[in-house]
Amino acid sequence: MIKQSVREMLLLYLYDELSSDDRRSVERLLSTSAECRAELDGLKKLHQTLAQYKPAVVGDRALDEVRGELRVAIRHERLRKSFTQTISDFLAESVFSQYKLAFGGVATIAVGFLLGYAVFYSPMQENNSLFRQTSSGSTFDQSESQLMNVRFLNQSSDDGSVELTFDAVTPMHVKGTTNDPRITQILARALVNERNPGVRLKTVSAISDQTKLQPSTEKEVKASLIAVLKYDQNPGVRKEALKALQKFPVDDDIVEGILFVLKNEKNTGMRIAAINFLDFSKLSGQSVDKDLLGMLKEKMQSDENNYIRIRGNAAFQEVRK
Amino acid sequence: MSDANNKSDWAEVDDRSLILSAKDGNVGAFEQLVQKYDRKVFSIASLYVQSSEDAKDIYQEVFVRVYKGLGKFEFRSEFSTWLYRITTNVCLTHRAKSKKHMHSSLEEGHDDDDGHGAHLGDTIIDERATDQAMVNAEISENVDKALGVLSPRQRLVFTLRHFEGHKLREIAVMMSCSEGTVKKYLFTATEKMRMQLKDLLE
Repeated sequence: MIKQSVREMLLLYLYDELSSDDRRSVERLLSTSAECRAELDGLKKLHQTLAQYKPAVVGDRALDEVRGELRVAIRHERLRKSFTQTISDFLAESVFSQYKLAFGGVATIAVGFLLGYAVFYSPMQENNSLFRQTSSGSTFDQSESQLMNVRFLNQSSDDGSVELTFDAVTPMHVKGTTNDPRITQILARALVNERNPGVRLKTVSAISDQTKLQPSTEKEVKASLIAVLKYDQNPGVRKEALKALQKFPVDDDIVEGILFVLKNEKNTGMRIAAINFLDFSKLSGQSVDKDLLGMLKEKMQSDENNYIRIRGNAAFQEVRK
Repeated sequence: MSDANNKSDWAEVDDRSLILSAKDGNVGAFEQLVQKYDRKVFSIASLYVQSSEDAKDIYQEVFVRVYKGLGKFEFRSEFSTWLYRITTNVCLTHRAKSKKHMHSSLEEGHDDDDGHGAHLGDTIIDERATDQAMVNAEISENVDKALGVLSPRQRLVFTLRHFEGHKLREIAVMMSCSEGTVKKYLFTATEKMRMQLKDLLE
């Protein structure tokens, strides 16, 4: 009977996980011990059998599917994250920056009140306060917060205790021009987070109507529009995003977005709009991205739409000049 | 355009730039980061749970955790190491959550009405259907069953070492344990596999 430590060494030998010294020791052992050779043969047999087992290979279709689902999950995460972040940024920029000193004083007084309250309040008062909160249907009724996604984590019938999580959403009212960077920032985030396609469409239109984008928000707005162009489920919103992108100078991010549309968009109208989007004559004579050339060639040859094939051909010739 | 060619080709951009860009809120950079590694993550998850629905759940949980945690990622390790560590954690906890479901899916080998619990090979892999036709169905069925007998950690170590080809020291980092512990898991898993597949091996 071989010792367990030797059997472990043989397994590691087979997996090539031994140092060169240990490897030589095992080889010496194998040359003298028939029992060890038999053990190694047994392990090799297992490997041969497992080699006939074909574990699932991840296919492109499945991967596309999970990527789509992930996109939705990330959008929800962004919605949660950006809501609080946007509001706090907004408050910080609009209020706190102008009245930093005054706010500091108010905060100090508030801390004083809190300390006093913590030191002097009576337990009776606390119970009453808690009772009022729970019996009156919680303080959330008094505010305008809306409770959603309530999930029970724990519920005990013994002592009546419950533990739960929920999202509290408070409506906010913001007024300003679409040229205001703070408004633009909110619009850019709404663009990728809002579930209602009608609102997304309106948001793109609002961005599109802006006379001049501020440099501070231009990057985020452009990234949001490209994300919408590529992934929004509604073709109307995608088309509006493409229109809105015409306000921006064509750069690599936009070209990449257009290529994505040409490659993946099922809507023929969108593909036509995408191929018309780029002014290929301006690209002539420049060193053009090989992806773009490859894509144009592919469109020229294989797109199901006649116009796209012809346009692709013309653009390909233009770029090659 | 030429000077920006490298920028547009995200595949050429290193992880660090993608991470920094994703930290700044660039969704495109985050997506590229995902696409660089997600096939491997999905593959590990698929091998580990052998149910397409569970594998998808794991995939999603891994990348949502990555998204949430990216802000705190400080390049103390390779991104891939961090990612696979999250993957192994999610696999181990997920297994604990859906143990019952996985076993029924593996052992009974049938779909429920709405397709949930379908065997991975039925839904996600076209190639497998072709390959599967060429291999002995009995072997695959037995190996599936044998893998189902292993404990979550043994199964994960065996999957990562045998099917994914990771070195033991890499697995130890992923699972936040010592290399010696990983060796023990691998050895015990191998012993169990030999025992389970005894009839086939003789």
